[in-house]
Amino acid sequence: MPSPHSANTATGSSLPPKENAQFKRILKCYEQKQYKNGLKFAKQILTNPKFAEHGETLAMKGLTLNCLGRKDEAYDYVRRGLRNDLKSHVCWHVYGLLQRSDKKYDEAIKCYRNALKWDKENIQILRDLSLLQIQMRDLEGYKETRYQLFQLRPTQRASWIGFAMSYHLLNDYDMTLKILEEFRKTQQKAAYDYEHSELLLYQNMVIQESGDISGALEHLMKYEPQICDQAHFLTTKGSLLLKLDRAGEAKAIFEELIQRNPENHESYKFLEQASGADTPAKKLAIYVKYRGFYPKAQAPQRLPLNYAEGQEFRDLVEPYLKKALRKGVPPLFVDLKPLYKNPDNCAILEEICTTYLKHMRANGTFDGKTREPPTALLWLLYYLSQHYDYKSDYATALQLIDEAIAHTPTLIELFLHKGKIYKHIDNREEAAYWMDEAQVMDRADRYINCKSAKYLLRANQVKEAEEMCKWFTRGGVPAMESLNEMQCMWFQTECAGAFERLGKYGEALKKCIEVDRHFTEIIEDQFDFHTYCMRKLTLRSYVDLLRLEDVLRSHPFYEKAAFCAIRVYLRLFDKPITDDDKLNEIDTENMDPSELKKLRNKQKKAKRKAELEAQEMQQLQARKELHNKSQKKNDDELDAPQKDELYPDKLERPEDPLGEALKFLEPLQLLAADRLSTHVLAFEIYFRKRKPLLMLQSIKRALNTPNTPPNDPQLHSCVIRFQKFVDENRQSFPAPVSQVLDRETQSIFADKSAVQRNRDFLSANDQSLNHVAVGAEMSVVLDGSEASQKAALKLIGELERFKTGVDIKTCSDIFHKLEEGVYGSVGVAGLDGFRQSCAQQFPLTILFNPELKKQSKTTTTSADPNEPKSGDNSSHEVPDSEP
Amino acid sequence: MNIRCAKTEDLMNMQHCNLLCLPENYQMKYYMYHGLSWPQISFVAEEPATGAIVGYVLAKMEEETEGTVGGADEPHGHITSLAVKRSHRRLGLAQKLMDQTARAMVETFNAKYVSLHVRKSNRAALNLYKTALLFQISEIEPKYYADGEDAYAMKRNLVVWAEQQGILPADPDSFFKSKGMEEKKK
Amino acid sequence: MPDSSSSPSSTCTSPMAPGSAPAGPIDPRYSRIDLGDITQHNIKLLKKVNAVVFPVVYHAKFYTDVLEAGELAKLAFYNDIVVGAVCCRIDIEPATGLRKLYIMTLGCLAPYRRLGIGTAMLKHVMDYVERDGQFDGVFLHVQINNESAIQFYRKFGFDIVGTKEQYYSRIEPADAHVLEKRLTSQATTGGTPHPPPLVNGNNPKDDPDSHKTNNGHEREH
Repeated sequence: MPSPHSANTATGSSLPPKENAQFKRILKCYEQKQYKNGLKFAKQILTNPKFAEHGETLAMKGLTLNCLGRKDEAYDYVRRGLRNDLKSHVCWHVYGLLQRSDKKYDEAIKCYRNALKWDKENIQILRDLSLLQIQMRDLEGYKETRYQLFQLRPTQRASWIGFAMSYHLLNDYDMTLKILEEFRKTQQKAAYDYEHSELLLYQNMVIQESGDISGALEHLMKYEPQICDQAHFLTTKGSLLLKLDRAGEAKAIFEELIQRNPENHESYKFLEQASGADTPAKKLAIYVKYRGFYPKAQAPQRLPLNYAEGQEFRDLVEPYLKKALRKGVPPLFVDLKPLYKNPDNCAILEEICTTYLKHMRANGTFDGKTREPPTALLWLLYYLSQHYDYKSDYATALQLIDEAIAHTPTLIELFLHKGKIYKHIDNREEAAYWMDEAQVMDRADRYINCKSAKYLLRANQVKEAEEMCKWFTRGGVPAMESLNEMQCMWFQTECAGAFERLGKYGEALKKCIEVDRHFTEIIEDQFDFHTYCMRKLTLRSYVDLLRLEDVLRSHPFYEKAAFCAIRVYLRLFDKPITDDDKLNEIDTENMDPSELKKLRNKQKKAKRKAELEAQEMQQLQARKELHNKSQKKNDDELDAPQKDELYPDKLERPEDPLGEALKFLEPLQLLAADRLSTHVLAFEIYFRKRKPLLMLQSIKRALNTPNTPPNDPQLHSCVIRFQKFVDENRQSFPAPVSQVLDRETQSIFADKSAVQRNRDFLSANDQSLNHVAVGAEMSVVLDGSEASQKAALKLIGELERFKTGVDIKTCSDIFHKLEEGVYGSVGVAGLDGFRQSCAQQFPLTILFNPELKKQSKTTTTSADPNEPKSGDNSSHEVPDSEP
Repeated sequence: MNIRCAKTEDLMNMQHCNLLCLPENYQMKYYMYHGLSWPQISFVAEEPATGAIVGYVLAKMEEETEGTVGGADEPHGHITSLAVKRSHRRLGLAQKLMDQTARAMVETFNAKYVSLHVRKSNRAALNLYKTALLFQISEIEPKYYADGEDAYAMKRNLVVWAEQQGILPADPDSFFKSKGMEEKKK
Repeated sequence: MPDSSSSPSSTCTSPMAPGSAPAGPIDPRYSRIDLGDITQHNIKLLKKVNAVVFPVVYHAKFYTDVLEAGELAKLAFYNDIVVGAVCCRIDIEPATGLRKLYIMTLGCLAPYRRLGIGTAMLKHVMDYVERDGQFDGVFLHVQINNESAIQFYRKFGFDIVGTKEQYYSRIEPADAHVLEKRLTSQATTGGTPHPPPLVNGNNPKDDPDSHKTNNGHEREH
């Protein structure tokens, strides 16, 4: 926390000497965090009736109170102080500091600016202002402030650096470089000087960004002896040489880089370029060479597989496979999976491996020659099981993995994979069961524990998942809390998904908001690095950080949380929560009445239990807050402001669900604009807000996302509903809106009615289940008659007709939509028929084959099937007899 | 897997990998602190097709002495955290990551040794450090971990290794000088 | 969970690996054997091994004791995969006061037999006994028709010192040989058809029936 005080500009000037001395002690106490003493001195001044309304003292009292966690009083005192002394830079600075600690950065900036009106050259205020400006990316303002600081303190290193950087961030490279070069000249360099090296590399970064490639190379070479980041030096030199078409010299550099780190893929890519290897054959030749140089390195063995085809691929991949199977490399399949994009490779690998399998089973060799360790058979079975799983041949995958488990029931990877196969079959409880089997075999391994927890969440077993995580979270705190504290976002996003599926919308939103808050926190985290990095001179990394923070919410974790939150808010808009809602959320379709009754009872019990738990949690929270308060009293430490508690019950009853959804959407529109889902969700929000122009905007943006074909089903759904909306509401639009719509929809609607458009869509895509399912849904939207519903059901019912899209996910999505009534009452009635045709396609999936449920492994408690019921016997057997 | 120096944008994914693999976790700010203080010495193993981080080493430099012989401040590296996903074991990633880190510590920061802590019960890790990476146990730190487990404090001398590998330290004079002294003591 | 019936080759009487292996040994680089500790984190692996190797089920106490057994209980790793285990305990013969090491279980998954894993485990046990220096003998039970096992132990200096009829109650044949390697000269125990009962602690009665009931530690359920 910066101080409002700076030695030579301390005020309190309107006070007589005694009081002035007391005032200075308030400042000192504040700096030394002796807040209670500070309040004592403030009291001494303020109890004197003459100074009871002394502005700066009041303000300082407020700031001190803020540090003791008494925020409301703090605001009162600071504002009162300011009112009494509007011309005091201290009062304004204090108000700024208070708002800053409250994270109201824009307000704080205004205060600092006011403070500077009354004390133009106050270094401390200028520094504080510059920090807020960079944090808020007020780059113009930052530049001005850094200029002032530079002028006031031209001898300080930070003044130069900050001044230069402020231009860099505005892409004014020339000015940046001028300042940096002037500064560099003043620097005395020690024999070994890391900071100087960093400065030079920053300078070089700016030269490169200015586009002056040859200048950058020249600069780099000139200062080579002073640079102590060898790897970066070489990489930069090599890529600059390449850009300057000096491939021969570049080649030597990349060879050196490969020698330093033979696992760096970028070095090979650059080497390919530098060697002029523009055909697969030429690239292959390079790797043949390096394979020999670095026999232990993986990259020169693996990378050539990307370029080989047919017989050549076979010749290369065989030794690669054999080596990995012998050695037992669990990630072999993950490693080769990208090669499967080429179906020929997939066929070759299948043929090789099935041949190996035949031999291994018969005589323990790959090809009748060398005897292999028995683990080779195991890894081969494991590989092939993954191979068939990839091909969606789940029956074969299961058969192979079971053979492997029978061979060696102690290899944990086998169980992990078996769980994964069941996940792909969509039998989530069964998948969780096998993950649990894996997990109990190595309790010390958090990775399996996490997988197990994740699969439990996929099976909507949140409590069990939390219990699972507990093995590795800090004791004394609930696992949920500990995971939140550690910013464990994979868990929180998965958890949100589980709650969403369970219809616990408040809980789901809580998780999404927690994730969002992590992102806010990570943006806050920058604050300390603004000054830190200028001191350390790690300016390249600092600039990278600033650029990263600007797009932080483009991270997949944010996207996942935001998509979930938006879906939930849409759901809450469509169907706001009523109190007896809760019981109806669970799938009760396939239950007989007694089961249903049991479920209801269980739910009631669970509800009671949850209420009790909530009470306990609140009490715990209350105790904790009390504890915190007493702690604060004890050591006068400033605690971070308490985050607003999130109450699921309140969250699932939002006043403005669409407004809340928009808050999650905005960062996506900015940072995930290339994702179709962003704009589809935007459409869904604006559709419900009945905003035609924004619907139009969403559709246009969706059309422009890369890799989105014009016949994308989601997009089609938006267009149809949009057109229907426009057709039905045209009269009510104001004239300008109508005009824009008429003009802008021309290319989209193309004089086709919605009905005709949908009909065309259906006939043009009649081989694809994904398309037909959406087309059928839209035909019901456009015409809800029974005849139309029947036609829709007929379209999706004949699964064997489709060439694409008949997969478990699509079918289960359709199944749930039928169930929800998306295809009308006819659809609901046709549910079982659809289920039966799915059952033929996917005989292992419980959703379509409920009779399988009885045989499936679905317990998730770690009960040990081998655990004896009684007895204390042992036996003795012999493992081997040596030949 | 692609092994490369960690960039600022990797830090969040390193945290994710850490949370999947290890019981010792840190908030993002701590990762930033590493990345912004010593950007050269943390490394990641990346799955090329997906860009996923499947292993990482998070490292820092420590200048203070550990109250032992000599007394002079010897710059040395410290491994804050090292993890490889179980799904990517047996590719030698940990060793490759650690060797890159050690090299960068010598080249950029003149580190004469690198230290780390390991759980007493972590047989596999202990084995890796001892046999493949030539760490030696320097002391036992009782109850080092939150759950009460003891740690071995381990060190790996980088001076001899750097010489063997032909790695040029940031400041050869002081780097090799103290090695000479050590040898004299012996 | 495969039970022993679904993996027939894991009954321990078969010394042969499945199929006919080609001549020549496995490249030793890809055939590494290590022993490792049994901990609370991995004890499930021991259960898995026992479940397929032995036709009997062990009581929970067996496993809690094993956790305390230190070097007397080890997992065997082949290429870093758990494929076998050995569990012993120290026995004092009540009648004679002789201190012996009793090998409760020593076994290895079927596909990994004849690779030296059993030898590595037994060697570990014998090394332990030798280092200790205070043992009078090492003994164990083997089903009488388990020729390969008997052969195996003979190579390490074990002899049949007795036979217990009806030792096993659910497998045929039910009789077990007692194999022992003696380390000191023992006065009374050798050669009798019914050696003193090998129970742990307080039941010295030589009553074959008592083994059928509840406290014979070393037989099947």
